[in-house]
Amino acid sequence: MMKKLIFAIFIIFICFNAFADDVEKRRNQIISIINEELSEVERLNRQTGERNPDLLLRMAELNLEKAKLYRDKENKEFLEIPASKRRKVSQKSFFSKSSSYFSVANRLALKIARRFKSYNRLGEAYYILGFNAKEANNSRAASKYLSLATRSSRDPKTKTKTQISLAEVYYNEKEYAKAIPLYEDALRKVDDRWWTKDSFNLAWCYFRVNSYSKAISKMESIHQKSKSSKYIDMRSQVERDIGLFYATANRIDEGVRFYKNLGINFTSQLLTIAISLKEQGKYTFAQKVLNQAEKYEKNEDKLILIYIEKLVLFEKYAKYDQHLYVSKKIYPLAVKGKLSSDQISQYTFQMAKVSAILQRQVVGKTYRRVKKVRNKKADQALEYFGMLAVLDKSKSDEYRYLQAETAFALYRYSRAYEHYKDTYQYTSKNKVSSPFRIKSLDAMILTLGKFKTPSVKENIYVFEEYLKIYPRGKKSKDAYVRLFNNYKAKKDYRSASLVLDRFVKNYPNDPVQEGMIADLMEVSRKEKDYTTIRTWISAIESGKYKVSATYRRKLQELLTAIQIDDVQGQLAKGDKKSALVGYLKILDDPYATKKSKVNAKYNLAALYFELGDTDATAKWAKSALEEMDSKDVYKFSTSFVTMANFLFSSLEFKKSSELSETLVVKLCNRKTKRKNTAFKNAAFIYLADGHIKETENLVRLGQKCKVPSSYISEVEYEIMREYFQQRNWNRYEYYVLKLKDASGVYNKIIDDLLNLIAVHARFNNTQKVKQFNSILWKSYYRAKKSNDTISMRGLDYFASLKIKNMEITYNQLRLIKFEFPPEKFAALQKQKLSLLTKLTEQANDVQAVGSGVGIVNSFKLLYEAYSEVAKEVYEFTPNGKSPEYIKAFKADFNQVGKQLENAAKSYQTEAKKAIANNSILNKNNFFFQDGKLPVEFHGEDAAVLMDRGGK
Amino acid sequence: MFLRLLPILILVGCATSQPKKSYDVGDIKNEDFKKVKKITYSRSDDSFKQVESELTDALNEESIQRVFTYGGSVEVKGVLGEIGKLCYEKNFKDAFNLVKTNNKIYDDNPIFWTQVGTCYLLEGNSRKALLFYNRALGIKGDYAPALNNLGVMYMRDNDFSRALIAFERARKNTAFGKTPRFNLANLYLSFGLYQQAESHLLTLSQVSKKDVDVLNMLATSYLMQGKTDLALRNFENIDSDFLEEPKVGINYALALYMGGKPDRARDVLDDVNQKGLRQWKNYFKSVSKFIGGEK
Repeated sequence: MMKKLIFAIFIIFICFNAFADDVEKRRNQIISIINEELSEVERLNRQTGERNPDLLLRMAELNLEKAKLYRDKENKEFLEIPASKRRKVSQKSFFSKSSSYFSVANRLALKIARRFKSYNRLGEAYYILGFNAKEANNSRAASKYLSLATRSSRDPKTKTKTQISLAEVYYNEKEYAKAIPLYEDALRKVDDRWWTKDSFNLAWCYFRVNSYSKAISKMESIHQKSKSSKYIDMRSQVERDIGLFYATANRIDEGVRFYKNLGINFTSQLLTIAISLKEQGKYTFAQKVLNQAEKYEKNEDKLILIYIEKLVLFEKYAKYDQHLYVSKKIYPLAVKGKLSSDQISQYTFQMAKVSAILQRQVVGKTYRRVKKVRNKKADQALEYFGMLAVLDKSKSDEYRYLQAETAFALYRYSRAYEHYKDTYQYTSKNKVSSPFRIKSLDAMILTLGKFKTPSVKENIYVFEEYLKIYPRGKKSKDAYVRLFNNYKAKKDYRSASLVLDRFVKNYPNDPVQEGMIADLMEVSRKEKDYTTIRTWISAIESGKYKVSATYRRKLQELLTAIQIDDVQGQLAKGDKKSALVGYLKILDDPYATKKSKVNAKYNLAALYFELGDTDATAKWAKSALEEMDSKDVYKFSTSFVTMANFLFSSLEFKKSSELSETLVVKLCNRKTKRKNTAFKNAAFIYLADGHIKETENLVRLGQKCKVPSSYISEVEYEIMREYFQQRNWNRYEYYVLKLKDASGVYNKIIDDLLNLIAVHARFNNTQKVKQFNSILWKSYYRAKKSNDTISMRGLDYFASLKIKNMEITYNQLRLIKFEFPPEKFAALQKQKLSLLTKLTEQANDVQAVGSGVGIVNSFKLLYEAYSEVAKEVYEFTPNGKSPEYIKAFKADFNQVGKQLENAAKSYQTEAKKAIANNSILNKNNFFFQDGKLPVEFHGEDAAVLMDRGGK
Repeated sequence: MFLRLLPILILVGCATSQPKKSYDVGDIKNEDFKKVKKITYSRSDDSFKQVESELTDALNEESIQRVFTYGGSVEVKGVLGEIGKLCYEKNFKDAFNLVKTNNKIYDDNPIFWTQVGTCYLLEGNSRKALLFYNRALGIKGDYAPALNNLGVMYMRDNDFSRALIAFERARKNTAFGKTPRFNLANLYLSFGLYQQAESHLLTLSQVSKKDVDVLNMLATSYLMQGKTDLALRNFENIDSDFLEEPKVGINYALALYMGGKPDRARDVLDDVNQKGLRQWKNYFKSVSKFIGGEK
């Protein structure tokens, strides 16, 4: 009875105390009551010699209650110690008081279990042991004793209590499957105020083993029963957790209805659940719940809360894809100002954090070889920076710059450039002092340099901006040049020249300006914009621009080239007068180049040639030739030959020859027929015009220039003939001797050898006559042997020499006169006939020479010889002989005369035939005419010049 | 030979009335550069049309050399004729001025350059003559006047063989040409080749009535053949003013003697101009001795 009473007081007291304001006070009161009962029970125990197990059990129960109360107190006090100090506090000593009571309770329970094995309340002793073990976090022991308690408890209430305690142990040990039957069994049997609390654990056990329906159902029962004061009110815990169950079981609609019925915002609840889950490290659940919340939430403000919670969740679990996805959802709301300042802070903080992580990953080594991933991360970072740049005005410049840097790190130069430019433009407008302004400008220059295809437009933009800031900086010189080059590439030459002016203003003496000027002038030159070029040159001359002496000279050359181009243009337009004047001006120009002058001279020669101006043609052609190089001379040699011909046909012989001779000089080292032709023309025209010395000089030039020997010999032959005409015997003889062995000419020299022999004979130079006779015969035999032509005069000469032999024979013949006695007559006759035979043979020899004169003269001699002997035969009458003898002698001897006469006639006939057939032009032809006196005609000087070809 | 010395000019020039050796730049006009129209060879230009000279009538269409010797008149038209006339009149300066003025117009005309060659020959510069005759032949390789005149040059050098070749080439290149035939006849006859001469002379006599030289050579040819009557007939057709000429008078006297008119023969021989005998001198003596008129 007492036992029950104590227990009743105890329970009421606890309940009372649970609702007391001053917990400490009530705890002390309870401890005091316990101490009173404990004192009484200990006294009784001692009195009974510790043999009553009920007293021992009661003592254990009271110590256990005391231990619990002290432990609550110690817990409270422990939690009140500052965390920094709490760590230094010894828990063993701090919790020593409660631990001592637990220990006493435990010892007493153990004593009962050992001594009173058949004790009917042994289960309660085991319960104390199990409870203590549970409190001491000794799950294994707790589980052991509570199991013993369950088996050995005969009291249903105790059994239920131990089942629940054991279930709690399993629950704490996360052994939900073991806990579930204990809870189910215990809760079937009891329906006390703790039912809601223990069922709550059971519901969670169901949830944990994925028995969502049971879990939800249990929760709904708990919520329902909690409305009654009979039960511990677990509604707030149910309302807190059931949302998760609904959400996890994908029964959101039911959840919504559940909460709606309660007048509670479901999504807020879900949010709360999610936060809770997140804090528990239950990422998947948390995400799931948030997703559901997002799905059902229509309120923008609450959506923002969900989004932000998602951001936190995704950031924590490094789910950056989702993080960005959500960030982008928030962004328009943020831009619209829908976020509170705290939310904005949270949102930007989240984005800044993740973007920083991503950027580190992008520039780091980890993803360097995983390009796809790296690019993705970069894209994400870029998006974050982009949003941050808009939302976080205080760091907008930095985020814009970071966007550029990220793109640059990935070699996305075009995009990087755009971001740098954006940064530059933004800072220039909103934050001029930002360090990112200059950084981005420098980076723009660097990035443009990386472009595969240069962007002229952007280059111009960047360098213009650069030079606005640094008109005379360290790198400005290069910037001017690059800006200039870009304007040039754009063909915006006006802007390019303005850049040049700006450059010159800042760097007046820098030689770089020369290159820029040269470039611009080259453009004008190609466009034949000579007016602009002249303007440039004038500006240089006036000192506006500084150029080197070499370049200044080149400009003058350019000016000359322009002059030539101008003149060529005039020529092309047919304005030859202006062209001619232009060329003359070039020659007067002190700066005109040699080449220009040569060109001008040549063209002047050509123009004056067209005009028919011989003096000027000769003057400029010769001058041009003298200054031209060999290559050009050869190229234009045909023109020069034409000009020389023009001078010749204009009867300007000397000028023509001199031009041709100059052509030979200039072509001297070339092997070309043009040189030989020029040589020959010059020589023959010189000679025709009486310039024999110049011709001889030309021959020497020809030899030096390796003009073929046949050309040289031909000209020397003509020089020799000219000396003959001039009766200059020394020079004549010199050339005869020079050419006597020259092939192609030696045979022609035979006439000249004859001339020299005649001349020397006139001057009684017998030695010379002999010398030239010797040469003459050598030449004759060489020509005969080589079948080379000998002049008719030569042939006549050689024939005439042989005729002289005939004449000797003929004279011998005439000296022999017939006379008797008969023996002498016979000898004389024989002698005469022998001489006639010899004469005939000599005539053959003469005729073999091939001379018309020789043929005719030999026939003439034969005819005369035979005729004379015949006549002598007819006229001879032996002295001192009888008439009969004489008659008989004459009859015989006249026969001989007749034969001789016939022979003479036949020679006459043959001579006539030879003359007629061979058209022999010999004055002895007259001899063979019939008639008493040969009729002669002497028309050698009567040949008539022919002026027209006739009809 | 000095053939084809010069390449043919390929450029054109201008013609003015006066030769312009040099220009004052200020006076030059663009018109001065205008290309002149060339006058190339045309057969219609290649004969004389306005020559009045009976005594040289055989060659009047082709040659005016003897017109100036025998007292005929020549009415020349155009530059070509004018140059020839001036040169035969020994007015070389004016002739050459005309050449210089017109050389570009007639650049491709062999008549012009033959005329220039003849001018130089008449002036006594056979080398220049040769150059220009060759220039004409460079333009027209078979141009008979240039070939003929080369023959004349050879005759003057006593190179009769080459002269014969040149005249023959000229004759072959002009089917109806008379001057080469005339020169051939003269050359043949000068060496007693009367048969060869006669054929050319008979041809020439068909187009000639009064040509002193043709009649004289034909008569001489007959005389060489012993055809005294024919010889006399032709001698008697010769203008009597020319009987004093040795080339006519000596053989006419011989023909008269052979024809049985010794007195008349001696009279004619007496009238022969002995100052102009030159190459006839020995023959004159022979004939004088033969007909008994030797003085």
